[in-house]
Amino acid sequence: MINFGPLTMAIQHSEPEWMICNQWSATTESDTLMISATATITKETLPILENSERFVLGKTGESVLLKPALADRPVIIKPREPFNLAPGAETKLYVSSPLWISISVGSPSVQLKETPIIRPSDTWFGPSTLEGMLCYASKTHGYLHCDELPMRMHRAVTPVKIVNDAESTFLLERFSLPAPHLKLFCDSESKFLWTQPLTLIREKDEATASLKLEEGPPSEALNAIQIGNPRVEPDKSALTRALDTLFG
Amino acid sequence: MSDFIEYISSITTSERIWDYTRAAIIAFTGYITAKITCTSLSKLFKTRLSTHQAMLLHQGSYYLIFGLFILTALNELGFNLGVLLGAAGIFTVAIGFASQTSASNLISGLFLLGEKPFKIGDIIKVADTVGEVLSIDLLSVKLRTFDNLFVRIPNETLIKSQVVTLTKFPIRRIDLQIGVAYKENIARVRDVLFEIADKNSLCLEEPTPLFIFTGFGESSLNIQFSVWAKRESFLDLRNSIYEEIKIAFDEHGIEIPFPHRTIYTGAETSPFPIKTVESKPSN
Repeated sequence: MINFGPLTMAIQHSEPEWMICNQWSATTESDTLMISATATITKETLPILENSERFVLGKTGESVLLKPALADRPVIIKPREPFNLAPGAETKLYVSSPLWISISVGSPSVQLKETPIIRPSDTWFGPSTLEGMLCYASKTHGYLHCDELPMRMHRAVTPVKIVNDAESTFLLERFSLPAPHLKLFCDSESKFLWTQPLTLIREKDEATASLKLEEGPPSEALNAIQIGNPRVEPDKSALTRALDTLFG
Repeated sequence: MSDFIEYISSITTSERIWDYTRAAIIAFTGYITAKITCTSLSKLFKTRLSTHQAMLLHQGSYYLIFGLFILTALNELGFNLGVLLGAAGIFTVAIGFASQTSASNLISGLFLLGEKPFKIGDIIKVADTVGEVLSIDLLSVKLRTFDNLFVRIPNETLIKSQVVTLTKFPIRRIDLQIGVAYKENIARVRDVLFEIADKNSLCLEEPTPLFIFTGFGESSLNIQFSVWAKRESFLDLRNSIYEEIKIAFDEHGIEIPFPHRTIYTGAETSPFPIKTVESKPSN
């Protein structure tokens, strides 16, 4: 049985069947939630959890691989307090996004399912209810300094540089974090999961915005190793878009 | 008998038999070509076309190719195609007059194809009928209702009446009609409702929920609380949020009133008499 913050997961194996049970606690997300694991569970001590799923695979062996993964849809980051960015100014924000856990068994591994550690709310992101896309919602403090980040191992941190190249002040209320395009890194020193840094630029014409993705880990965790590939490889057309599609 | 044998031998020896054979070969080749072409076209455009467009392409290409080969075969047999086409034109006009309803449905069907108000697989509502579109044909649209009934709606009806496509857009709004007692603080009710929407993960954060105070009702303060949901989660959210509102109102002591009736006797009448009944003192 494993606790990932608010998610309690139990995995049971009795050849040829695997059973995965999940339960999310009702407590609100705390800043200090950690991951804990209980290795041996007998049939008698297996807790009764709400959501259980059975998988029949044949002979797979006993190994279980749990891998963190980023969200499968963009995450809309909404700073708790919107702020104004002066013309020509730039800032760096540290934002975190919820993680999913991918459960694979056997060798070679077969993925059984993916489950979110925290079930984020859905939200609609676009200029109107006709145009736009479904995303996940995430409220964030939008920390400006890395030291202020709370230790939350069930979320991945992304350094986001926001540049206002236009000649008017820009009120940043929300922006779209392209989670499916991001790589996931693990840094044993800072004990954080990171994604590569990205830069959002509000262009001079005030109508378009561009997105730049770095290749490697962020400067805050240069020794981090990559543990997850992007779900969707970003294409060049996706990197320069209308302002609405990045900043709402 | 001898006449019949003579007739048969005259046919087999004449050139007509070769005309018939050639016509049959052309028709058969046409059938095979039409089948292969329409299957290949469907496969080629499978990813680019919708189910309905693919079906139209399949049928259209089949009948066009097969029709051309049949005409060639008839020509081979010595039929004058000009006369045939002329006869077909007159026949069409006659049929058109005789079956105005079908012709109207046919034309309405063409308009529906051009306008594309819905596609195969969409859920539509026509008058009181709600169902999934199974096919859009030239004369009618076929629906499967949620209680598994097959409904055929003539295209003319669809053109004339209001059709609601429930699955056109990815998100939908649910308008919850709520009544609270007159003693309640509306601002507090508003806060409680927004908190419920915030906690429910099926309820979309954007567009933000809408709180409208709709007026003073007979027995309650009437409120419309509108929340948005993903199309697939529409029913789940509608069920769960009503339950959550009831639980939250009970927790916060917010009353959902029953209908009240205040009986007023009027200024000119005397008040209602009240009779107090005392229980007998026990010895």
